[in-house]
Amino acid sequence: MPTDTDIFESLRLELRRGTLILAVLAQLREERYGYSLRQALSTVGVEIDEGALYPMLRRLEAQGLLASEWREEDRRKKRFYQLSDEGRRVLARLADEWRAINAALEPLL
Amino acid sequence: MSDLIDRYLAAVAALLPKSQRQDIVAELRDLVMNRVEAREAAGGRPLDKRELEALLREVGHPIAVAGRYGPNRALVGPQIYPFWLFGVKAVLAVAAFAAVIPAGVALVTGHGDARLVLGTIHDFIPTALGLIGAATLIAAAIERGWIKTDGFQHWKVSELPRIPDKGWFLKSRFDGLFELAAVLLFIGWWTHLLPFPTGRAHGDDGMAISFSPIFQALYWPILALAVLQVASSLILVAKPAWVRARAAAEVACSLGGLALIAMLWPAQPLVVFTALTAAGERAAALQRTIDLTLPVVLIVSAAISLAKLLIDGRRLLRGR
Repeated sequence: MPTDTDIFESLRLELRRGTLILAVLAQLREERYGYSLRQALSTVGVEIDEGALYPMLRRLEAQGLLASEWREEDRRKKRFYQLSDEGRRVLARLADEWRAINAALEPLL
Repeated sequence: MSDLIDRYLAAVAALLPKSQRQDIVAELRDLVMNRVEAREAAGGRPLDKRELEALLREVGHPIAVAGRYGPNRALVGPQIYPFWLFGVKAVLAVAAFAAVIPAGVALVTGHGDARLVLGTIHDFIPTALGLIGAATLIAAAIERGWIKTDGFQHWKVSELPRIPDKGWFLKSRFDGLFELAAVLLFIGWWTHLLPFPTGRAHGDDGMAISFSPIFQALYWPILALAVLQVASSLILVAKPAWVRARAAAEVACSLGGLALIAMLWPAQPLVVFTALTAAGERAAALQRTIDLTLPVVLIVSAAISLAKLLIDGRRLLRGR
């Protein structure tokens, strides 16, 4: 039998899942590599597991929302990601959607 | 230290698609090295072997890490899952029913014991697992689009089963499935495609069972009646909203059943037990039981057929 904490945790994860993509896209308006992206998200209070972040970046790139390139930095090759033009358009639409949902929900909460 | 990291990354690489392997492993190496550097910077010293082991364990088991890069799709997804579950329940229920009938017949006729019950359960388990496996393969093929469906979008409310209004002899779709399994089993036995559960007519218990010649004479009519019942059950299972078609088929079955009973009645005794060895008393006792029971069974069957004829006839006229 799941406890209240289990139920809350599962609902919280469900709620966060979609918003993480929004946060990642927003942070990639400027170019970052995986580790620096995670740190940037952490700084603004969005924690994301690296194990989920890297595959997500690949999926978003496969969907054409991100562009990436390998470059050397700090004597190591790193893969840098940034929003593509299509990614910018999708982010703008998703942000509008987010604001609309927020505006609709806020009075209810 | 780098040996541990290399071993870890090689384990992940072995599980990745060849086309993406190099790229993903390079990125994972960067991820691991960043973590190592961050820990070392925080601790002010290089990580020892135990700490590195712990760090790699935090990154995740190679199977889990490689799995995250695979296609993000369940074997049976949430859209297909309810249909899979329904199908599995239905086939398991019918298979269990089909397994129980022969065992039940054998037990009732004194041809089985506890070993038969255990044997039935033992045989049912691989059957059940096979059916679940087959249902899962089909569902997985639908999930991946290998089997084309309309996404279960094109269904009609008017074709859903009616809510039973507590009428006599009203059956659900599930009842129809059981009915279908039972009649198909009977057809299998009748046509000798399946062995009868009591085994040979001349048993090891020193008795021979012989049936009245009327059964030979009525071989085709009985088979035809069973096939008609299959058609009726199929209507109930596939098109439960076809009330009139099902009622018409049931009326025909009831009429056929009454005619059959009328022909069987004068041909009694229908079953004769003959003692082959020293089992004379047992054969006589069984014969007495059957002689008392069969007429009652025929009368009750006739009464049920008559009642069904009236009720299904009314249903045929009213269409509900």
